[in-house]
Amino acid sequence: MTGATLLVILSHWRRHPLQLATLVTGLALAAGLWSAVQAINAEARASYDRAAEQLGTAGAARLVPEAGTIPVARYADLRRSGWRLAPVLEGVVRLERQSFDIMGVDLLQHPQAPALATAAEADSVPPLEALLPPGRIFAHPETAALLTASQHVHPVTRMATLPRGIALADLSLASRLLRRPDSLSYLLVLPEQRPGLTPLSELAPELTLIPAHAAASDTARLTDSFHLNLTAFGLLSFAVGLFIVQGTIALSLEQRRGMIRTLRSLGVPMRLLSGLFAAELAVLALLAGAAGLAGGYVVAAALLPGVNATLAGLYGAPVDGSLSLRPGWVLSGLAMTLGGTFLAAAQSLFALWRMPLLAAPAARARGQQASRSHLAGAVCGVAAIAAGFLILATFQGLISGFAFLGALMLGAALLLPLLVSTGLSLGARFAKGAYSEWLWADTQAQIPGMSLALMALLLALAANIGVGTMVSSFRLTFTGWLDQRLFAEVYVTATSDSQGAELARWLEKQGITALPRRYKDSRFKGAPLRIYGFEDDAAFRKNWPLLDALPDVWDQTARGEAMLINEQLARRHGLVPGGVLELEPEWRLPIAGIYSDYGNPNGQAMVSLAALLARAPNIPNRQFGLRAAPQEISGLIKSIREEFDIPRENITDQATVKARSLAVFDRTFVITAALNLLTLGVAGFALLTSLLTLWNQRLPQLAPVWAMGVTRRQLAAAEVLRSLLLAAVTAVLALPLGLALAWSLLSVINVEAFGWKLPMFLFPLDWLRLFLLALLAAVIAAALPARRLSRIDPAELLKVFANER
Amino acid sequence: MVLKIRNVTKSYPGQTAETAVLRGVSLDLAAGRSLALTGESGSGKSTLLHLAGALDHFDSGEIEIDGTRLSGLGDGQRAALRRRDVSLVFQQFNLIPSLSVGSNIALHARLGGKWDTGWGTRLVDHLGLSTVQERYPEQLSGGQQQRVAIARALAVRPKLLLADEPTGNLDETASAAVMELMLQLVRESGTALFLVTHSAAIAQMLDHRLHLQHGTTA
Repeated sequence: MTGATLLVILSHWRRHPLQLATLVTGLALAAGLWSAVQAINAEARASYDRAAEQLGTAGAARLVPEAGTIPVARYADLRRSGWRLAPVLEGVVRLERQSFDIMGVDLLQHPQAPALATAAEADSVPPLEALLPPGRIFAHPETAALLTASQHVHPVTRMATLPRGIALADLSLASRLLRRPDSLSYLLVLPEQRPGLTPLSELAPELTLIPAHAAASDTARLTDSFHLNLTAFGLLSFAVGLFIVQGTIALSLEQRRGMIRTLRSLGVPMRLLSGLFAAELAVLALLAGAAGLAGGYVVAAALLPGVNATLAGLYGAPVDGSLSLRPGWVLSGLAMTLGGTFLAAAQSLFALWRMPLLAAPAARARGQQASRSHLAGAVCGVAAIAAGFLILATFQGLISGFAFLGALMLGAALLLPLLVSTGLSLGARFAKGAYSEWLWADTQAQIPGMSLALMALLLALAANIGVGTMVSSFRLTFTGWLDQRLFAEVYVTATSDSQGAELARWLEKQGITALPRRYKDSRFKGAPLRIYGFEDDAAFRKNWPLLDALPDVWDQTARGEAMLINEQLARRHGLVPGGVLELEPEWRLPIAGIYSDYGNPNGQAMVSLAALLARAPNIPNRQFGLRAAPQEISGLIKSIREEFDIPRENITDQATVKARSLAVFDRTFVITAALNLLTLGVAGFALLTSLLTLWNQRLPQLAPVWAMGVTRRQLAAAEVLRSLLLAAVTAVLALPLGLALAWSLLSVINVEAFGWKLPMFLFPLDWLRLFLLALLAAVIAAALPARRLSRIDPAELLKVFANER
Repeated sequence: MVLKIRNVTKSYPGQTAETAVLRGVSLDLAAGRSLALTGESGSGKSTLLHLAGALDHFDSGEIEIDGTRLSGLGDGQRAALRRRDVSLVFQQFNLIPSLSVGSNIALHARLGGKWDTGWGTRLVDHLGLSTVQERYPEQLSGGQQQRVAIARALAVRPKLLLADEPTGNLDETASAAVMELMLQLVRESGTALFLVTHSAAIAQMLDHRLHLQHGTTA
């Protein structure tokens, strides 16, 4: 019985191959985009883990200072107490031409010590040579090449097992290069410890112990929000794909109602039928999921360079390595497709389960029935939006921000049928002539069948408007911010401190204002913090992008009595002007102002240069911002080049710096633009599949109108017009939703994810472009059904009137 | 003559060879007269009705509607003819579900630019539909839906009314009532009625009867 029943059930697809193709494609699209995003995330996370593993920092707990660094003596005390610890000093060092991340470790204690010794031996160097002056540097071959080109003092050992962009050195060499003697960034607590030791909390109460599982690298911590953003986009694409699937499954089961009734009357139990339908869906889901995974892999490989650019632009954390096939990714992708399929089919399967034996084939909701269903959907939609606002008001954090966005999008999608229907009713009032009236009424009658596709279109358009507005607002703010922040006309970096001092003297003689750019890297609550020292100058007072400040902010800061902090540091730790911050042990300063600092993921503070030099007299003095009249810029650059042996790339004018910054910004949002376009493509496909699956149901509605003298060509034009009308109404409704989305991204998500709040700007031309794109998608989607209709054989239309039909 | 059919043939492509459905059918129908076409299932009744309504193309022969030869007409001209001069009533009613009863009734006449409010009101009253004009087809009984279909067809004041088993979905009483109404309105408006039916009783109510067998008239 099972085999015979299965054959009957499957025979449906033989008669509806297009429907089968739609279902499989919808599932594959949903699975593809989701798994592409997951593959990218997995690859990036694996890259961070690999880097932590290669640097020997993985799997170990960390002791971090509340603020500032750990004195070497403190480390020695703890070692004497019997604790096995590995000290680490991290920072950025500027060599002749380039900056490098440097990590200083104890070459005898560090978990990677054996690997470093082996690598040194391979270079025919005694292992202990790295400990002796001038000190050896270990780096990935690519980084090693750059290091060798930038300096000639320290020999470099190439180690392919180290991550790119980081140089590893002995602690003493690193502290010399970083000019941070007697300071450690953190201590790794090695896994094997002697029993019975005095707890670290007693020995070093000023240090915080972060367990191994929570001790993510700075990169992993910073990029978490980015990956959550990406996951949210993947989920949106998945949901849009499921809209296609839901509609197709519902239609396939509805069309098989007659078959089900017959089978049941022939004695096939409902339990068996439901089981077979579920099995059919599971097989289709797995097949489509596999196809989706293959597509997802290709998409991920294509998007990875964009993601790399984004991560490098936002966090300076490129994904190292190429895409690899992970069993966990395959299994989770298939499980997600299977789960999504059954979620999309749940309502139809439930209706099937409850269908009475003698139920007639269901008519699509029309008239009052449709109105009731629209109203019920709208009530649920309003409830979802209200729940979203409740979540936003009650909880904090990125997850609640995304939950709010999800509820807003779902609510709006549920409200859509009622709003479109109302919009069409209003439009119908202006209809003139029978044909026009019929067109409006018929369009309204299509809403139940088209609503899922329209919801998909609404979500895709709103996401485009929202994300587009966010990116464009960000760009506009960023450009304005660059104008304020980069007020010096020329930026120079000397190759050494002595050259820096010489340059400063020369500039003074020439009467040119040179603003030194000097800083000290430190840590605050386990995260990097850079402390800048600034020389009081009218340009700062005039240009610096302050967001909030006390009235005498500059005077206080210049006198060394207060400091400025960047927005992200303020938001992360709830700091406000008037509050006090401990920059380092025994260095507490009141906060006089907060400034915007876009594009920088880390905390930053600004103190007077004198105050900084009092604490850190040896910080490098190589970077200068020079003030010059526009007509003097090229002459000044030429003079500096003639006077000093400074590499060409170390002298740049303001325009070049701005152009470079904007180029990085634009690269940063490459992945967003790609995902936006893909989601819109999926929504367009949803529209096409809806129109195609409705094709058979449309003929009985169109044939009588044709019989009354409306030509096939006119009917075909009506199909395109109808699609245009629905897309236009949906696009108009997507605008407020998109703007709400943009507001959430700028005021909620960005604040949580990056630590900065951006003003929102409106871009009507972008909306117009998107509106036209939506109309184009609608025309393309309707083109195929319209073409079929314009060429349909009258005999096909006449079948509608056949009494045997 | 409103309808003149001469030696019309029509074949449909079969799996192996063409299947001849009509093999040289001829008939005439004058204004204000009615003709019942009977025959077995598959004898070609509906095909002939569709050809007479300019809905499909015949292979050979000629059909004239009020002097207009169909053989030379293009798609647009056929559509124009249907909008103005030909109306159809089907067994399945084929009302437009998205339009109210009132809009359904007016639709065809308005498409042909022939809507006459006075005549429309008379039809509605006569067919007992005045209280249901604001409703939608799904809210009506089968008999009511068929009366709406008849009202829609007659509202255009067609020269030729084609009806394919118009009472096939109705019970005997409702069927007789609908037929009487239709015939009365046809006579009143001077329309020629060409009706396909299986029912001998209904055929007896019309002026002329023609039996179709294996694609030819008996």
